Amino acid sequence: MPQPLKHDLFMAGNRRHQAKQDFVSGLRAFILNDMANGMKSRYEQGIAPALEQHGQTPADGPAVHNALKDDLYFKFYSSMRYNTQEMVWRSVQHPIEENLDTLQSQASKYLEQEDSAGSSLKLDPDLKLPSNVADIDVHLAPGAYHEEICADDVSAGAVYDHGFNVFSFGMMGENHDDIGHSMANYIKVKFPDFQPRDILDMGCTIGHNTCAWAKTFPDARTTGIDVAAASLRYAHARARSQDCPVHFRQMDATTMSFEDNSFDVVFSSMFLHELPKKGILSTLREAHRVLRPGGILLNMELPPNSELSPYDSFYLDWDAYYNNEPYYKKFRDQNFFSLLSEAGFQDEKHLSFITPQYTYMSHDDYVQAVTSTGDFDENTGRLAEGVQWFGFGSWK
Amino acid sequence: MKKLRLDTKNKRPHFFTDPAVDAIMTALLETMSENQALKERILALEQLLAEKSLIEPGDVEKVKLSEGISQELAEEQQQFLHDAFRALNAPMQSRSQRQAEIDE
Ligand SMILES: C[S@@+](CC[C@H](N)C(=O)[O-])C[C@H]1O[C@@H](n2cnc3c(N)ncnc32)[C@H](O)[C@@H]1O
Repeated sequence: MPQPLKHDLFMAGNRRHQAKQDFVSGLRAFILNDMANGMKSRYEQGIAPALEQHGQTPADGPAVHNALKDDLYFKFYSSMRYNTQEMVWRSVQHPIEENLDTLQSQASKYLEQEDSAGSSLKLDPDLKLPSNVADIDVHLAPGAYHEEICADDVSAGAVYDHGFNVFSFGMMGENHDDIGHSMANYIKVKFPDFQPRDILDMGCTIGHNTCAWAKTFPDARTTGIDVAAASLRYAHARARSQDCPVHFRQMDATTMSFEDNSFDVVFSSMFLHELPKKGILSTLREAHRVLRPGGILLNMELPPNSELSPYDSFYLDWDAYYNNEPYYKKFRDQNFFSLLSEAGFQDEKHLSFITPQYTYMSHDDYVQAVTSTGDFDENTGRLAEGVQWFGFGSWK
Repeated sequence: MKKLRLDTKNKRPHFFTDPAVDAIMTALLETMSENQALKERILALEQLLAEKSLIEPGDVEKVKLSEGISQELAEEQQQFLHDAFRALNAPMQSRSQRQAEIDE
């Protein structure tokens, strides 16, 4: 169930809106747990054995997709998942639209505060939106991260935040910051001598995971960049309302304006898979450039297809075909380490790992869990019970 | 009121052979969510009445509907079922058959 967000920009909506959001969230949990399991066992117990008998065992994700596409269960699963994704956004767009004036004035209280040593926002009105943002309603969100309908608009950020709440049925941490906490704490626990002074989050959207880095490393200066002004304004107000010190900049990650050697950590989460291949390489090259020697690039991502069974590849690739994530499969088909090497990082300095969710266990249990090395399994990157996160990157 | 854009720019994929089934699925899921919201509201009302001591918790379970209301409910249910399943009872013809008849 979606929980009220713990910051001042939370717009609860009326009783009917909330009940519908609860319904959509519960429906998603049902589809992603019960129905997903049902579809998998139907495949494993009926469809795959039948194909095997004819020597046609599906060898990869697309082959599984082909084997399933005429199956009634797949059709129901897909249709329901697609519809539910649309309903996620609609269920929050209606109340946000109705409360737009309140939302805007709530945000402006924070946006009008003076810059401080820990917190600022700089927008770049001349920035040209890349087509991966401008031309696609990514994950079926109308208006994506950036569309504006009023002056100093924060609505796109609000829709993302509230929609994420319905989408993740309470599995992403108190303020959707579990990924940030899990990744930052992984670094802190595994490399206790590493003390970053400057941290960058690329493609930070509403700064939910950026804040987790700022909280985990309070002595560092944390910066978040994104191309979407409406999301960044919201991010800035949201961070301030939680007393979380972050500097937000409107900037394209493929051509950053930071000086060389500016950061000790360059982080991204769920970001690279939304870029076309050229953009991924430019971003990784830029990350290498702005990192200081001894610094680390760390990307939280969905796992590469090479690490997954054909069925699990198909299962994650569903989003590429049906959830307006056109680059998602192409990215996951690549060798992530080769990409890093191509971007200038040295082979022997690459790393990749799996981490459990930090938010839902004690710190001691987390330390215990990450010191025994985890492995890929069917729950890696898959939002359902038992999810664990995948990270990869490189030291410079 | 300023309006957010509610529809996506992309074409919608249809998963069933007949796209009508996909459209019905959309309406069905929306109806389910509306139904859930109504149910939630009724439960809230019951709780409110109990909190205001107008009823005791569990009273609603004990209420015996009057003869008149019971009958009205039964009639409404029959009418609802006829409405909902009218497609099953009506004789059907293909669209091309219909066109042919008119063109005859
Ligand atoms: C899926 S969101 C990332 C969400 C967030 N990092 C998280 O952890 O949930 C992708 C973000 O990347 C931004 N983006 C896309 N292309 C970009 C680019 N070239 N440079 C900077 N940001 C970009 C989008 O505006 C969007 O906010």
